[in-house]
Amino acid sequence: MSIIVNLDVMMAKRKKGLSELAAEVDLTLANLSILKNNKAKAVRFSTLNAICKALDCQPGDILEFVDDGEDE
Amino acid sequence: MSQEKKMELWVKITKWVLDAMCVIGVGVIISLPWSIKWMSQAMPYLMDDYEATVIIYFVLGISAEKILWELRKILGTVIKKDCFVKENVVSLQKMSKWAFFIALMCVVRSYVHSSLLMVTVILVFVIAGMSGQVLSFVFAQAVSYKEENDFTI
Repeated sequence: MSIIVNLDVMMAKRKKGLSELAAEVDLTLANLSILKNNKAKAVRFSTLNAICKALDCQPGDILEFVDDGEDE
Repeated sequence: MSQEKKMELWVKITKWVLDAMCVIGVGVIISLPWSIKWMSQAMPYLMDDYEATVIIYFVLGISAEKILWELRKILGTVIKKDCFVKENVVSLQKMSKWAFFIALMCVVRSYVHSSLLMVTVILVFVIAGMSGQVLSFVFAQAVSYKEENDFTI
């Protein structure tokens, strides 16, 4: 199983760049890139809260569960 | 003295000692054919199986150098303040394997000439090998915790 981060989709919908969003949610570009590229192992509620606020969306718009048949 | 300064001092001293041991070790390994003859003046049994003794101590020396090399690599990461990395887990596993190998070679050496000292050396290296294995598991766990922390956004 895996959780996919669709941050790039929401960013495109809201026409927001990585640096702009990073500044708004007070994250480094490197950390936001890790999140955008699905390399993150966990997301803090505070980060999710800030991203949802900045992109005016719900957590479900950013996170998606995909059952790929693998158990972690 | 602050904890960090104390750590830096200890790391520097250890690095210096390890570097010295590495260089001296190479010298000792190269000089084995002559040094064993020289030492046989005090320990005549060394000349009983001269060729076998030289070969065994040569292999033991190389193995010890390998352990020192891995230790130096680990110390390098401590100096860079990034010691919880997968490379150190591999280094600890290698050190453990070399320690077991040294213990095995000492058993072989005991067939040529057995002594109480050799039994002690075997025990020390078996325990060192076991400790190395356990430490590598502990390090692997620490690396996984660190990765999880680093990738929590």
